Amino acid sequence: MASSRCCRCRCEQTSTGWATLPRDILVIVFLKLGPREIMRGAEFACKHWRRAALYEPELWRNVEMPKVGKWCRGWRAMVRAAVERGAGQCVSFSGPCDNLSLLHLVECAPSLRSLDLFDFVASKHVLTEVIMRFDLLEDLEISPEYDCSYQSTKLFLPVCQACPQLKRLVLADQELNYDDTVQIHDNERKLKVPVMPRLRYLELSYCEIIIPTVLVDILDICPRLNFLHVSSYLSFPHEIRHGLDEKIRIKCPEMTDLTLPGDGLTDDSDEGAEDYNRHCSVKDYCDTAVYLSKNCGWIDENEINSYRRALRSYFSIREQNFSHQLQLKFEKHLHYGLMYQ
Amino acid sequence: MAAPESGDGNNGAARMVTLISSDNTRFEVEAAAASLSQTLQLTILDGGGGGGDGIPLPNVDSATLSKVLEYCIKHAPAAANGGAPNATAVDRAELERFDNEFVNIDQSVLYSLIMAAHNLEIEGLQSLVAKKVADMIKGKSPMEIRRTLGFPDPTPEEQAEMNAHMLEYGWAYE
Repeated sequence: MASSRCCRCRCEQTSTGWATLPRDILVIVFLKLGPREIMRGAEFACKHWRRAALYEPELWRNVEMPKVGKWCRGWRAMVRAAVERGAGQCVSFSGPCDNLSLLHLVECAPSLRSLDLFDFVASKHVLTEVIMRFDLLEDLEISPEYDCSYQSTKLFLPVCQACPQLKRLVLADQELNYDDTVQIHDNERKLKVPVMPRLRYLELSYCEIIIPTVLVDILDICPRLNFLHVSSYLSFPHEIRHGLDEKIRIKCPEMTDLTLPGDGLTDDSDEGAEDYNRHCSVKDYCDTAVYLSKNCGWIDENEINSYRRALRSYFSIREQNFSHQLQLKFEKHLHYGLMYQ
Repeated sequence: MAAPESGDGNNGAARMVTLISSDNTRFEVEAAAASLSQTLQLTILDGGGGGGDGIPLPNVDSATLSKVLEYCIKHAPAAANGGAPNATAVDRAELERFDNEFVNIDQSVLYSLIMAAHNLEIEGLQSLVAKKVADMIKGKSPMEIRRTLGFPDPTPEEQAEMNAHMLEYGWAYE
């Protein structure tokens, strides 16, 4: 008799069991699935599952949608719904954004600690307004959308000003140049950034660093930094890299992890990048040489002049191959360099 | 009666307890293994389950219980080491291999297992089965999920409602 009862109940289980799984078990399964998978399939499987998706804020504490790009249909509605379902409990968000979705995020998820924005296209003002209102934010990551506007490449300064409490900051495709510094003496410029007392981890990936010495300045504004990773499409020449490395390590003995543009450069498998590097290395070398000679006196005048000559001949040979934009950029750099002669 | 420590007895032999499934099958198992269940742990600490009187488990049938105990026996040594901080990489890899093999079973057995793990509060097993179920439905459409887990066919009414929801949420179509 016992076995027949058992058999009957097992048959019932297999036919309807999963659809009526107790809510707390379903939550465990859903947590393993993650927000994107829930929203793409599971929540439409049956009424019971849908109710769990809608009314369990615990499921939406970490809204991570790494594969939801702008090309996904309805991405904004999806991101919006996910954050709303968190009912204010959302502590980390990772996904695409624009002005509208950022404003919505700060309304619905005020206790966010970690924010990772990719495909970033929002205005600088909206971004700073929004991140300023996340009192608990300590981890921020931003990668602008491919082909973004110039202002999206100038986020380092405004982000630091809006969020001095950050512990970890990762920015991609940024430009650090003269706009980000103030002149303090004739030949000395300092970053305009306020002190970031808690910042331990700073990553600037694929950033254009026009004045390499700002990387030393960064240690003045981030006294507790022990991870600094900087990569760039243009690698610093060996001697500059070496000099910087030494200066940074002297200034900050606690630095456990340091990478500078060009360090460990082995995977040039990306042909485009390699091409770009070849195009720019002479220009880059010249620029850095000019700036460094002015700022640190590492390279003497004769050397600069030989770089200049090399660059000019390089230009005249390759002129037709150079993109117009790149040439404009070069002239701008040279102009800045010459200003300090 | 002096409450013995769970796990190893003083006289060298491990303490055993008896568990009784819903269909009256008796399982004798080391107390340390059964104690992976938070529900059983208290009873065992109080000295229950030893000798002639077993602990009845009216919600778990014998097929499921034997599977549950297979998991507990395998995981008991690591759990006794407090989450195994000094376990070697080999031990961990072996457990992982066991776990993968263990959940490679039909969805109806998975269902009984996750219900039993929930009733008996065996956190590791519950998490393991949940992960397996999540992997089974990852990347599938709602209808594929229903088929994978053997949901009954939706009534036309249910179907219409789900379609309406999916239309409402543009993201559901990609």
